[in-house]
Amino acid sequence: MIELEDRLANYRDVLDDAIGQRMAERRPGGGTVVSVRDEGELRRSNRALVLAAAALALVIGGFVVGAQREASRSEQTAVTMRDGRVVAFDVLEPIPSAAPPIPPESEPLPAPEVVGPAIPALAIGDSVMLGAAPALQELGFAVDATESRDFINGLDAALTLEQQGRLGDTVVLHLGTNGPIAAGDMDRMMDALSDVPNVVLVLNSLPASYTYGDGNNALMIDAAMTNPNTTALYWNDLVDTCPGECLYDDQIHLRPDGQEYYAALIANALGL
Amino acid sequence: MGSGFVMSVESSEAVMSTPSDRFAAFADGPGARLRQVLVAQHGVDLGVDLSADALAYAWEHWERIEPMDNPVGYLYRVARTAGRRQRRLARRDVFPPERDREHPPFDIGLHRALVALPERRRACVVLVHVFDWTYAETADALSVTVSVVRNELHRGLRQLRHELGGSS
Repeated sequence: MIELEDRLANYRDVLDDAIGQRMAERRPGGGTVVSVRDEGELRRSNRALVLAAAALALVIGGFVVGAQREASRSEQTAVTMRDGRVVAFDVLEPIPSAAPPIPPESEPLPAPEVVGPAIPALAIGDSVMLGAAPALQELGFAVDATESRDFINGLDAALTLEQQGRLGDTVVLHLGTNGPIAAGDMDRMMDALSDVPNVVLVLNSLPASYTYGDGNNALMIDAAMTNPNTTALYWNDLVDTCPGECLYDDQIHLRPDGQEYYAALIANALGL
Repeated sequence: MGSGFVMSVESSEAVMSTPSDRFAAFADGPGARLRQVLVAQHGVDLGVDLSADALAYAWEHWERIEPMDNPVGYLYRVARTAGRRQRRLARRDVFPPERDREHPPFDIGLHRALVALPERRRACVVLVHVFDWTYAETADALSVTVSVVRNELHRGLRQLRHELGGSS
């Protein structure tokens, strides 16, 4: 009887074989999209260089798929190879825009259920954002902000709108004032917003007695660093530069001066 | 993350001078391991696609990505973001070979049991027991602690043995 560990070890051959097949499928075949120009003799004795070239061929294959799906783009990617290595590589598009959905081969995608119009610019927040709601509305935002709101409640709102197909080009989030953000909830939030081109996470500015503030901010910074569509707005630092009387005595909520400055920072972050 | 990914890049830098040389070495070493992680999580087709796109992204942004302490970790997260988008839009969850593979013989029972595992658990099992990664390497790649890897492996193997019944 074969032990489980042995079956798993044997499974590597299956996976390696499948990976090889997939990589071969992605390599250009006819040269209609990708051209490889040899400027010297291809010497394939160096295994590392050959494998590197193969890996780059895999890269090129990704562009074949992307280019074929978007006919309006350039029809050719030029790759110049010398001595078995790539010396010039003109790429078409980076991964955020070069990751078109792969349509299933057998059945069309179901159309998302749309229960209302898409919201071009949406702001989801708690009581801090609520104070700045009029200023944000003047910028064109639809504001969904309530007092005592936890991150999970804002997540529910985002998930609902995402499932309804109503998320637009811009979403600003300011949550975390009322409690710690769970890492899993942040992942779910970024998942829900992954199709939104511009996401701004407003960092928490809380007194030191709110011990979860730093943890919340660390999560948001990490999310901004790892999601190309997401920017962190360092409200916790920028609030100190706010001109006028900006915060109430709790050092959290916004006076009128702070509301205007807060909205201006968001507008600046989005290039509005 | 401090394992072989980063060391491979540093050693490449020591002997290669041009960006294309260094990127080629990166694609050959750390890039191949990135592919294994993505295959372990998303299956062969989507995993290979995501790794190819991630390497393309790395090349286009090579000046910014090369000096990073952990370029593979960054690319892994970029790829996962793209993966979430693709999987949701395409309404599919793939692992591992979606089509019949003629060679080598396909262990369909093990395949089905792996498919049934949660994504992170499957990734731990595949990376450690299929691709022969260390616990530390797996933890680094998945941005979790070694104890999480250990727990996931324990639960994953238990679940696989349960699914496979007396066959193992």
